[in-house]
Amino acid sequence: MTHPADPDSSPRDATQKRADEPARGARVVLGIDLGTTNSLAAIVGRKGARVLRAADGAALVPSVVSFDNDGSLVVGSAAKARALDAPDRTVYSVKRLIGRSGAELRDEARRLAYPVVEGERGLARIRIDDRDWSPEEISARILMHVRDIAAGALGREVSDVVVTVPAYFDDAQRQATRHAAELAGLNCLRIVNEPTAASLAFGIDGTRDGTVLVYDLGGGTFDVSILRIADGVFRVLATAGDTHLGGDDFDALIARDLLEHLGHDAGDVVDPYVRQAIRKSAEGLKVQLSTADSAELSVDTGGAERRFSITRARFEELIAPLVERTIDCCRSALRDAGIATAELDAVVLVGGSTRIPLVRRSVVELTGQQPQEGVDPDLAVALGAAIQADVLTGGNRAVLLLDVVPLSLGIETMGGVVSKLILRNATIPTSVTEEFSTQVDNQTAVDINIYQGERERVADCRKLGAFRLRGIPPMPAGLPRIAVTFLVDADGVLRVRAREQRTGIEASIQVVPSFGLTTDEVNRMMRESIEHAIDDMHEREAIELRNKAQAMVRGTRAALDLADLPPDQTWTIRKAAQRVATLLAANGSTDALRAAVDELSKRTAQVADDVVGAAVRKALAAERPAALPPTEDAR
Amino acid sequence: MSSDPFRTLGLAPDLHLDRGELERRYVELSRASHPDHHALDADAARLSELLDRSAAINDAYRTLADRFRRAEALLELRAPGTLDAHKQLDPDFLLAAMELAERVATVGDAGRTALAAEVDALLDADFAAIAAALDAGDHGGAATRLHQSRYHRKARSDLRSGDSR
Repeated sequence: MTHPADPDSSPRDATQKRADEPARGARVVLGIDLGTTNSLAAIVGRKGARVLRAADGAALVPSVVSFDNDGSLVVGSAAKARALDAPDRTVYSVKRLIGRSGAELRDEARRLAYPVVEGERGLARIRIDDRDWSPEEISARILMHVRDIAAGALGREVSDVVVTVPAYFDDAQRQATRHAAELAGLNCLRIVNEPTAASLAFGIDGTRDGTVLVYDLGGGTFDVSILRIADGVFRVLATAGDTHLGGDDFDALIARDLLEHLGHDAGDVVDPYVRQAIRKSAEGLKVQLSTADSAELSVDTGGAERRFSITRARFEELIAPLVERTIDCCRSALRDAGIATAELDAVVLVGGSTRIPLVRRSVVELTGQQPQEGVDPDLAVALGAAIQADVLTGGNRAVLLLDVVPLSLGIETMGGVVSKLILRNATIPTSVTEEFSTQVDNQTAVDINIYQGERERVADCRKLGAFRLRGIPPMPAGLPRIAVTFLVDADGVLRVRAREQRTGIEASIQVVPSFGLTTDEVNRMMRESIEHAIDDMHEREAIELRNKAQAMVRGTRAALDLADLPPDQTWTIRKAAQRVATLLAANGSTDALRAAVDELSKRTAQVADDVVGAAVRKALAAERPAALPPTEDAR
Repeated sequence: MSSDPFRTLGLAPDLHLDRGELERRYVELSRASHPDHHALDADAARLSELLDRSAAINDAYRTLADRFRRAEALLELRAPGTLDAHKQLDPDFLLAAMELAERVATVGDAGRTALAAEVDALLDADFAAIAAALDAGDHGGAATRLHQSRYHRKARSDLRSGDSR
């Protein structure tokens, strides 16, 4: 059987253009990279892993949710576009808030243009009008949007996903991400660490066996993982990182410089509009400085125009301490892995912030080697998540992923000391069983506090939660033997089980999380989201219509350029296409757009069997209508 | 609760096991029971069983990959309770161990490599003595030396975490 070089170039063969899709009926599991700045989805098709794009060809979905005054919301690029106009109603970088308390985020919140408050149990909440949103709910909206785009690209519904998180996310942050998927109505089969996912994308072809360092610096988080790849086994030896270090922090440093130049202190700026404008400007300057030696902008300060310029040298001076922190993490991961830099076979850079020259230079200096080319820092994580999704659905049994727990887990013992039960970098799943007893006669319950972190004292670690072991049979003090099993599952999430050894009674345990949602809260939010489901359905229909409209406009125009139609027919079709394009640009009512799309369909249908119709159908079917090539058949 | 890591990995209890064989068994068993490979074809009870099994395999591997922990496991297998019964250490040894800990805590970058080599030599000597005691059936002797080696292992790990400061 022969294949054309590109199956998409044959408009006649309707089955072939879908050759890369999973077979109908086969279970489709999306790999989703839920990023601080951008998110995206990928799947494994017959030709390997690929990213799923929106109708306009964009792969990256801005991780932004913006609320309208009437309570409706938009997600993605439409939300990002509103950032300057509605800064206090546009939520970005929510990943930095997830699974954390308001108190932990006080400094962070001062920089954000939208209001972060302390809600129930001191947890961080985003206040829009009189409604407090949990970071989980915002993340759920982003996940739903990514799911919708993926569904549009695949032409089918999907609800099973694999979601990535920073390797250094602790238990609370992982649980929160799981809850976000649940709230989005998604079945999250696995949480995968981002650098591990990137290593899958890098090493899946089987020619890269060896020891690899993955350096992942994104918008808000930093991870480094050391892995050994051999015969399809991806084994993480050690990981380290900082879940609050990324491109956002670099922007903030430039913003501080910019404000100082204008004679302000960063703390002074309370106006969300100004905060957002400064943040955007700083981000723009940072991006320019990755390729230029200096960048500048002019600021309109109420009539007077002021110029601000920054050199790359100054930028590097600003971010050097943060970059050095990432390098320290690398050293510590290498040490934990027992690997010398000379033993590394490859260095893989992931995350948008690795485009910064100082970052690259610092990694090269540490490892003594150039990073691997051919790994797209924006896409590798999603592609890896898709590969793991394929493993989970049985599509690829050759791959085995052995990941680790990033931070030690322990319980509070006498005197406020943490007794570590599971050490960091232990391969997961892993479990430890510890025996406890009672302190007074006839005691029937024991409180157990769980901590995560590397330090000795409770005060220096993060409390994950607490649980009460109930139902202990009344006995003299010290006599009951309660075996508590701490198990970290393949998602890196802790599960606790307990059993009284003498009686065999299984004690009931409900861990109350310190930094996340309780089961009741998740259920309540689920109910609320079902109530909103009708609105969501309309929203999704609107998105699908827009996608379809965009594809039709492109397809029609491309085809008209090639087709040899009578001028009057060309003109009517062009006019109908123009009407659709105008409505799309105006972002107006769905009904008007639907009418215009129907009209355009009718016009092109009149020439159904000629080239225009063929090209439009092809454009609608093709994954990326923008890339419509002129083919022999079309002529 | 099965605590025999050799049995978990299907290996003969042997202090000098073949590292290559250990790796092969580990990967083979992990492939068979990792929850990732049964995400869709197993029910909740089976998944929970696989999770426990995978955890046991990982934990057994971690024990056997470390020569001292391997020796501890072997001793527990041959003479259960011996380790616990021999916790009492010679005061002279404890004094020397405290001096070593002090040197580790205060060593500068210049002396670190030499001190690490010194500790490595102590560990090698410990291991040789433990192996000999186990061979001779001297379980008490092996237990005492295992307890002593813990101080040297601690010193080695402290030196390592100070490496890049």
